[in-house]
Amino acid sequence: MQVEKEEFVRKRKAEFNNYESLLKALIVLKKYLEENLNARYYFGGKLKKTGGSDQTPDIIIELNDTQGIIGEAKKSLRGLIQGESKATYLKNYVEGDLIKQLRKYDSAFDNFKVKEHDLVLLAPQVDSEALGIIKFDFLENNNNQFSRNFAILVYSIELQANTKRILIRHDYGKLSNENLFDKLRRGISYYEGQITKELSKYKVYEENEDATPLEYIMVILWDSIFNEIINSSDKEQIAERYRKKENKFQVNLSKLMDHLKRMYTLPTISIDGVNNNHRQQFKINSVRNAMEIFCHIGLANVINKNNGDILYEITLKILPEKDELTYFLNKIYDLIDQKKYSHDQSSSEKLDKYFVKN
Amino acid sequence: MADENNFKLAHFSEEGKFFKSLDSMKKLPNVPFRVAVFMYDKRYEIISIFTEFQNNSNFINKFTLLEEDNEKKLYICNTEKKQDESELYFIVYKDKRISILLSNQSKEDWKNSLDFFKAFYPFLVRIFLRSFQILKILGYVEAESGLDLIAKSYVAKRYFGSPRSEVCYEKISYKTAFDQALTNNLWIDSIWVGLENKEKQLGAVRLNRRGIFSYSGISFYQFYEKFLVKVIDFFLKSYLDILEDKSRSLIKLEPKPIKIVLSDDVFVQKESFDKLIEKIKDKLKNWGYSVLAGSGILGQIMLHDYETGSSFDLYVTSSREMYIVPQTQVTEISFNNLLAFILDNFEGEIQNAS
Repeated sequence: MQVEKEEFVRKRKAEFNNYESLLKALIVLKKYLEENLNARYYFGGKLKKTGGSDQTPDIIIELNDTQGIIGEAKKSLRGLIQGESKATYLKNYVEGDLIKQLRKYDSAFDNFKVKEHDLVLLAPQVDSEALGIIKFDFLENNNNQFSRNFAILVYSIELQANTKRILIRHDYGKLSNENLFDKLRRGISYYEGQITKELSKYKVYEENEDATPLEYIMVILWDSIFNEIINSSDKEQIAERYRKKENKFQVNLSKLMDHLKRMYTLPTISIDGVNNNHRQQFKINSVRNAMEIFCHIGLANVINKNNGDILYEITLKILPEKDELTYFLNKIYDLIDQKKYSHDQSSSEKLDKYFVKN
Repeated sequence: MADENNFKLAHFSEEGKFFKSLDSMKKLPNVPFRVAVFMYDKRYEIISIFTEFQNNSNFINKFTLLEEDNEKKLYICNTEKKQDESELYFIVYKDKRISILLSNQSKEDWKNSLDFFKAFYPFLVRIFLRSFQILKILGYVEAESGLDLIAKSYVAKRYFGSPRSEVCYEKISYKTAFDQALTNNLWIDSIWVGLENKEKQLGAVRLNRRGIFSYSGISFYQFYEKFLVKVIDFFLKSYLDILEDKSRSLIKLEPKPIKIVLSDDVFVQKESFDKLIEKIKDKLKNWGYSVLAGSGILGQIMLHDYETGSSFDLYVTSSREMYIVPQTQVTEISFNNLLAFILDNFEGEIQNAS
């Protein structure tokens, strides 16, 4: 039991680490493109196609009026599962999942003003088994998957001369923009110290629905957003904490969403193409789920639900443990455990199931 | 410097008049005069905060205004259960967000006094100096006064190590003490210095990085003029620019990171980052944290101060570089508290990074 709990916490932290690494790669790409190539970079957003379905790629880049890039960003690529043949893997995962998704971006979009665009897959360099199979077993044997240029870009966090560095480089394929292609073949690299400002401003991206770890949203809410909403540093709030050892207050889910979006998310492309700083990263589901956990562990209550909005009462007080992330993860494990879900799934799947059943 | 006539003459100046009652404070046997310097929350009137937030400790139950000039106010503090002739004074600067506590109390009472103020943490916190600033202050005093400043003893610190006390048996100058510490990879945390004029000892002062001082053999006015004014100047000059106006909000979204460049390659060993986390756990009372990434050597933490509601991101990005990014509800008091914690454990240079 205790061992399982520790294993759960360890796994969630490892998953979070992947989330954070991709975030760093995305920020590095954004910073380079904006500062050196005067490009515009969006993380996600809706691309519209007349007569087709809307697409929500992770990466949308406007290099100039004529060249752009659209693609997928992956915080991990899975390798072969035990007992899985390479053929099944190629069919189900590579072709049936990754390539299929990228093909959806292989067309023009109404609200993407750039004339032509390339396709990219951004993935962690460390997932070399998947990358190897994609390149040498799939792409080499199946030419012309796309009607436009396609490239695989890989990222990694390196420790060089005792300094943390984030590196993105070209791994496979071709890009139309010579400048960028040339730079990526040599590698775009920033020291972590150069991007702390961006890291503190853009804490969240949603690779896909519910991709942001709940415990991370909880920590951001608990550390920063709740305090901001009640003006925690004001005398009146401090006085209340003096008297009652806690701050109790009510807030709507919509207000939490608004704060999170404006303070902590990467810009997305807007639906109408007008307001380019529109931010849509946080999905309401993730935040609602995070709040649900706060309710379960006695730090919040639902007061009422109105027109899709939820009014919560939140109790902000000192937690029994200083390490808040671990505290929340332990609590989440207990919640899952009480519902007696089987323990052979990955921790994310377990959480997903928890919320489906609730 | 300790010339009796000069000292009396000083009381005819505006400053001197202000300090007259302090200078007549009685020297109690075996007790030096003690001083603490605080930074207070400039949004509020600090004396009224003491009344409004009167908590469990009634050690000081009344502040009475004695003197006031354009710059500052002088209060006498009434303490409960007073057993000797000790006195406790509190000076509040009107525009500088600085206050000074001064007393001839015994060690035990002085501790109670400091604890009383400590309990008002979200509203005030002791200032913090770096080792090199103490060295500079002593340098100015030496140059101005022509006195010899002799190191009597010092306490030095090292990274992740416990402090080391050194008694200087040989007669060495304060500079030699600082050099000694540096050679041993230590930095001076506090130093006790004798003030000598032609081999004749006039007095002594003790300077501590955590805003606590003591003096003997000289008047408060002399200590104030020679040392305290410089301490306050140094603090305000080097930190205001760092501490002020750093909080993020919906109307000020841009983060304003600060960078700390350490004097040594501190984060090289496997557990260096974990040791930092342990220190945070141990020393930052009523704070919470979340480790977002940590390799054992380098890493990244979200921190938040329950008492002020302030939140911060802390990054260790290389063996000798740290970044602090203030997030929401950041008060100068809380930020100063965090910086003091970092600089107490890691000697380095601070600068605005954006």
